[in-house]
Amino acid sequence: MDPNSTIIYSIVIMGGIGLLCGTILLIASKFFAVPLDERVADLIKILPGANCGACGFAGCASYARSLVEGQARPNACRVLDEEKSKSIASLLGLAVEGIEKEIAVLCCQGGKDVARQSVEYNGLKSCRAAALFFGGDKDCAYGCLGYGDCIKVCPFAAISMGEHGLIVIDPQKCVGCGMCVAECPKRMISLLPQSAQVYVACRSKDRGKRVAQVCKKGCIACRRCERACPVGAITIEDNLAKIDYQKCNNCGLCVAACPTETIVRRL
Amino acid sequence: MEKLVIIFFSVVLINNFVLAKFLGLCPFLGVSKEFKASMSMGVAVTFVMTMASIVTWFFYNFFLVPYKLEFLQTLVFIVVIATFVQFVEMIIAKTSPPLQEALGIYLPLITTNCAVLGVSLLNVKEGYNLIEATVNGFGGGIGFTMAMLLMAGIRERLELCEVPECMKGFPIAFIITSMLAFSFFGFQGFFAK
Repeated sequence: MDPNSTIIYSIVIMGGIGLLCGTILLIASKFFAVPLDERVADLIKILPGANCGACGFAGCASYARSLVEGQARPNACRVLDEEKSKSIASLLGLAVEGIEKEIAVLCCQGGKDVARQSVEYNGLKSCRAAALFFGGDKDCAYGCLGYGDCIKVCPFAAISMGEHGLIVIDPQKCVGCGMCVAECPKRMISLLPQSAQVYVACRSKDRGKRVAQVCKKGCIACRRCERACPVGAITIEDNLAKIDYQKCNNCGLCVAACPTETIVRRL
Repeated sequence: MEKLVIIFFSVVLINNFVLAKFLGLCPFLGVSKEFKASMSMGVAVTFVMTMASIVTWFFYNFFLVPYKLEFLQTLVFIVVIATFVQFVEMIIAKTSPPLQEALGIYLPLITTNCAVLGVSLLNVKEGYNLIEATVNGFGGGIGFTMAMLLMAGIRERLELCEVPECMKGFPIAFIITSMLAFSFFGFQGFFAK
């Protein structure tokens, strides 16, 4: 074969294959076109894209699809501010309903300074692993283990390690997605309504005497807060004070009354 | 038949695309952090490699060989594989949304992955016929999946280990890959008579 025909054949074959492939894709894109709602793309742009899953769907894209299909409420995203929630609602032609934002708080104050250690734990530096090992290295079976599994899962970098092996949650950064709540093997983190100022920073259901032995800042169920609360929002259940946020007016009398500083004002 | 079995096992174990030929390293390291994701990736790669072997075999033998244009193989293979993957993705998106959810992001990622292109070029180099080429592509995918799963299993455990700061992430992953590759050299000469 002479060089000229090689060049021509190359061009023809290569161009032909290119043309063939292009045509196939063109036909396929017409035939197999999946009708996509433009609103989905618009919604994905508005949504934060953190894929935290707090709305109950598998990521922002899936939430956007459910919104368009009418299966989700426009206020389910906890990250968006009110303005953006409104723009979502107006995009879909729905009325906006308000949602009380929540933020996460750590319900434990038993740092290494106040809580008694039961064993020296030298295993994997992970709460989950430590919890499997006889429930962790603290005498209190309910306490925060302080290896920071929640720090790793937080998609908004709101959690950091504070003093005495207790985590600190930044209320400015926290959006209340609840990833940390699900990750914590001890269920130490709760979501608090944003309006709530006081909370019980203890999860121990042990009797008061036992709590006093293992931790200086645990709830000993002395019922002083119950008596101090003017609106009757606090009750003791299972040796642990519980605040009813429907009734609580953030007066702070319980914080003053608590002898072990278990009830605290949040940051 | 015997030859097909030999082709299959040699491409899975001895000439493993990742561990012996060092092809397809970027999805191998990029997606091997989680067991589940690497499984999906492995399935997608196996599928694409098998189909790419078949499609490129036809193009090579019907378009390039008759006109003595073998030197165009790399160019043609890239175009053909890219088109093919796009085409399959469209079909999947239309016909099976659950399958698209599972493979969705991984299919475009491997459109012209070097392992996929590599299997087509190797088929040509070895002069395989259609069935042999298909088995080679399928085996290559299986070998890739196996390497991915081994790696993902190790890396999931690695998450819980205390790795020195300078070794965290890719450095330790490369070291593990090299150890895996070393151990796979043990299969060398397995089929030697």
